Amino acid sequence: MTIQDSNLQVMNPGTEQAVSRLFEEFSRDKLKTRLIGSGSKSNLGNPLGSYQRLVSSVQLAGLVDYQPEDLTITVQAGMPFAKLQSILGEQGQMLPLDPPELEGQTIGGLLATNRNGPRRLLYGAARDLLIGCRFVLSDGSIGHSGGRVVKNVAGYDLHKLFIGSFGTLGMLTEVTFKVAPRPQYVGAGQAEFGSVEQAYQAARQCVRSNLTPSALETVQEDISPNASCILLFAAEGMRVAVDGQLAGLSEICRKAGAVSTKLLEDGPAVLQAEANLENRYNTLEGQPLQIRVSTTLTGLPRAHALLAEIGRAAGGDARVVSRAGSGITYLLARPAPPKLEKLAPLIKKGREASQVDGGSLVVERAPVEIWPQLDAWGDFGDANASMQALKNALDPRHLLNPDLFKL
Amino acid sequence: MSVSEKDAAQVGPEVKATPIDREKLVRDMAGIVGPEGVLHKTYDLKLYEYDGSVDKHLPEVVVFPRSAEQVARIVKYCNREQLFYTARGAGTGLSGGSIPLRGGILVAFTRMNKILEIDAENLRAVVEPGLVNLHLSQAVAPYGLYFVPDPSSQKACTIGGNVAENSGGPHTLVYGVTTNHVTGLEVVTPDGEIRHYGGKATDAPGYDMVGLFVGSEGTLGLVTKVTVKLTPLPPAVKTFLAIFDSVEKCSNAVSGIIRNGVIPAALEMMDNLMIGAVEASSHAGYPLDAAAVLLVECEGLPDALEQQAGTIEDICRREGATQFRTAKDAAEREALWKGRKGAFGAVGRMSPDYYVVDGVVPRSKLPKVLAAVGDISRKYNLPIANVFHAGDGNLHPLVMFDGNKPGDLQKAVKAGEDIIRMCAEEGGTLSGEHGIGVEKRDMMCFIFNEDDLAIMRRVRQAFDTKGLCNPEKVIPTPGRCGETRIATARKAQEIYERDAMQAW
Ligand SMILES: Cc1cc2nc3c(=O)[nH]c(=O)nc-3n(C[C@H](O)[C@H](O)[C@H](O)COP(=O)(O)OP(=O)(O)OC[C@H]3O[C@@H](n4cnc5c(N)ncnc54)[C@H](O)[C@@H]3O)c2cc1C
Repeated sequence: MTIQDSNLQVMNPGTEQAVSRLFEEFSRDKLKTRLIGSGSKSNLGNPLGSYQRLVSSVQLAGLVDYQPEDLTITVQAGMPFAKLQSILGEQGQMLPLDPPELEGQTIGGLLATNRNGPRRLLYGAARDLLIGCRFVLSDGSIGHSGGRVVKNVAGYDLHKLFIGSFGTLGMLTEVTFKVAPRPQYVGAGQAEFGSVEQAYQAARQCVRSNLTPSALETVQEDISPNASCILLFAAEGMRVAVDGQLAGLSEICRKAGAVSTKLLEDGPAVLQAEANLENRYNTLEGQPLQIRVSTTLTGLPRAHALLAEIGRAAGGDARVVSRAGSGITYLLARPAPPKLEKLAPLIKKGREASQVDGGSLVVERAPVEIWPQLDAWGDFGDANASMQALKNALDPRHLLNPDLFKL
Repeated sequence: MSVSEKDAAQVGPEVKATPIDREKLVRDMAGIVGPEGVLHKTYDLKLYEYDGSVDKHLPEVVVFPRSAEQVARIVKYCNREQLFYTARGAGTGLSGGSIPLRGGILVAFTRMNKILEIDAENLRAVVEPGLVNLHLSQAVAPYGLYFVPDPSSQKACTIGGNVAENSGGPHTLVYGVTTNHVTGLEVVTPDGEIRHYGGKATDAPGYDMVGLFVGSEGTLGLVTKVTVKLTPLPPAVKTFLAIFDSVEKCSNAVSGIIRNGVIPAALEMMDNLMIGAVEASSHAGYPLDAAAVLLVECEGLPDALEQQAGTIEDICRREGATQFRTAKDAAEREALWKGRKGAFGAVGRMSPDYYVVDGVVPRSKLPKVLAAVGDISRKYNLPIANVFHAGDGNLHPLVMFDGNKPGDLQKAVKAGEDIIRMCAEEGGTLSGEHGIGVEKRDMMCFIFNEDDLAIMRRVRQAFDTKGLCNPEKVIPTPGRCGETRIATARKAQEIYERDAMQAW
């Protein structure tokens, strides 16, 4: 479901005030509104319910304030992510978020969908980097939270609520991040293990060690039972320190039973390719099936097995990759042709098994036929009432991105 | 009627508490938590009417629940009887967060202080909110782990208080403050229901309820269980002092270090007045003749550590540091930290009273802002000592005064307000870690306009529909913002007599 499919005209307000005026009008007329950035991630999550207006943030793309010496930057939410990185890059800095690259994707869209990548192990996810925002609620009211300083406890951290909210609470108009200096050097290596369990055990030992890897990713390209598994590791900082870290990580892997270990050329490219893996499955021709399970580090082998089982049932090209230091694992698949009658019950079963220790199973992308049988996020447990109360407080008429969250 | 009661009567007409039948209340509470879990004699209540700030107000009763179920029953009772309730940890808060400004029930969490689980493999612990911060790090040390947020009050303050205030500490510069180290909460929401947000896993689907609750100062519900992240202890640390002959050079060094990106694990600054106070009380080893010092701590693998420390030393020298002293051993390191963490207490021994101000500015503004703090000190003719988390731009000017001198307290409060106003004007904020509470409630409009505040009120009311949970905190009543709260600020004398404060 791309923007072109919809016969609605995209409205591109160029100021926060303009967004506010539009929303005020829509709210008066009870018009349901779909919010987008560049529309690059429209196929994430449940399909939307019907809507009468379509608003994009792409005209809100300016740089508001950049203080390299304070390591903070404020930009409008519709700025393309790549543009933000290039502005920071000129000063030798970066926003340490490494989501899958998508043409034109905006900062606001990345935050709303809470995307990140392998290096979250070292730098954290969006919630650890966003320090303030401005937003417009569905009734047109404009608000802000946080600020432009790295430490701030004044008022509620409303900016955290927008991360992963999929545009259901309001429209981000301006965001402030704490940024980081670009590391002098990024190095990567990999170890091959005879089993998935061994790979995860090695990853856990890396996490508990003296070392500070910036990424630990397991990749299993062949998801048949008992197939081998790769553990990718990376470190960044000053060259000597990185070399030491990589040697230490290789050593841990060898002791944990790695069949082989090697260092890889061009660490940054290796990590970006890893972040971009899902793009191979998320193509226009195919119908991707992309499932994420969040769990504990010790829960990963089980979650991995569960996703591999779904992948095998789906048929076609499939692999399981994990942020093995962060407790996140993904099934990336392109079922051909999708065996839906088998998949939905299997996914539901997997979801139940995942809901321990605060864990969850999220269907991020799926063939459209599956949605009537499945909710992307699953129920929110006893937190549901609180989320509903929030939604009712901030978007009382449920106008924004209707039905995306079943609240 | 106390000053704040009068205040409440004026500003909170929308919520009326029922006249209280105290005997019945005590009986009913004893029915929930047992008679040993209720305090009601004025003599006992007096110990719970204040925290580390200058405000105070008596609760009707103090109750000590032992389980989430008991907390839920207390909250449901309050709903039924229209009673206000306020959570309290150790009462070390510095913005009045745990003061029951409108009386009612004070829910004290000190008996819910167990570590429920240490899950070292998953770098998590599950704890009750009344657990003392330091006790957690001590308990997980045998696993080679610690809990990063280390407020200077960590010997006394509770994890529940840390969660409510989103507390920081000297070592939160690189690894982040409380919100970055909490992955799950069990909360009794103001409807009296027990709810679970997040858990040991991260990235829970839906809204980031944990992110909203951490730092909400006990206004959205009562926390009954906390899942925290644990972090491996660093393989090696190097602690050193950079000594300066001017405050300006010292603050330039701080912004130089940040700009360079070699951010150490801790970067704390003290000025001459503060050094004098610290040395008088603890002989930590700080040079009495320095205008300012930076206490720097680097962590990591030995090689990288030396390199980082070297870079920081170069920057400090370039900015005019006169001397460098490295802690030779664990004892010297500990002495330096003991001095730093005991800094507030040290000022308490030097001046009859002091007022801790907590503000934040962009780090590049530190030189300018510190100079202005000096001007404010002269303007009010009150000494102001500085000790703070320089790496975050988080100032803690300590305004010294004598509460027995007429007008002195008012002057101190005014000086604090001037400092906060200036932080806001320089692009900073009202509080980096001590919270808004009641102290800064009416300063919120320095950085938030009525629309911002109205939205925060909507969020609050979404949870606290009846307006009974920690009333009068954080968000000002419409139209009242910006008024100086000098009327409710009181003599701070009593707070030094209290038990918890003796710990420093
Ligand atoms: C000498 C000294 C040094 C300090 N140094 C620092 C420092 O370095 N960094 C820093 O950040 N702070 C510091 N503080 C401030 C204070 O210690 C922290 O804010 C601390 O987190 C408060 O914890 P507490 O248990 O004392 O909470 P309290 O003061 O009892 O309560 C604080 C707030 O938490 C709420 N609360 C408590 N428990 C719960 C619960 N279970 N559920 C919901 N709400 C709850 C209360 O309602 C109140 O709003 C210092 C204080 C002192 C006196």
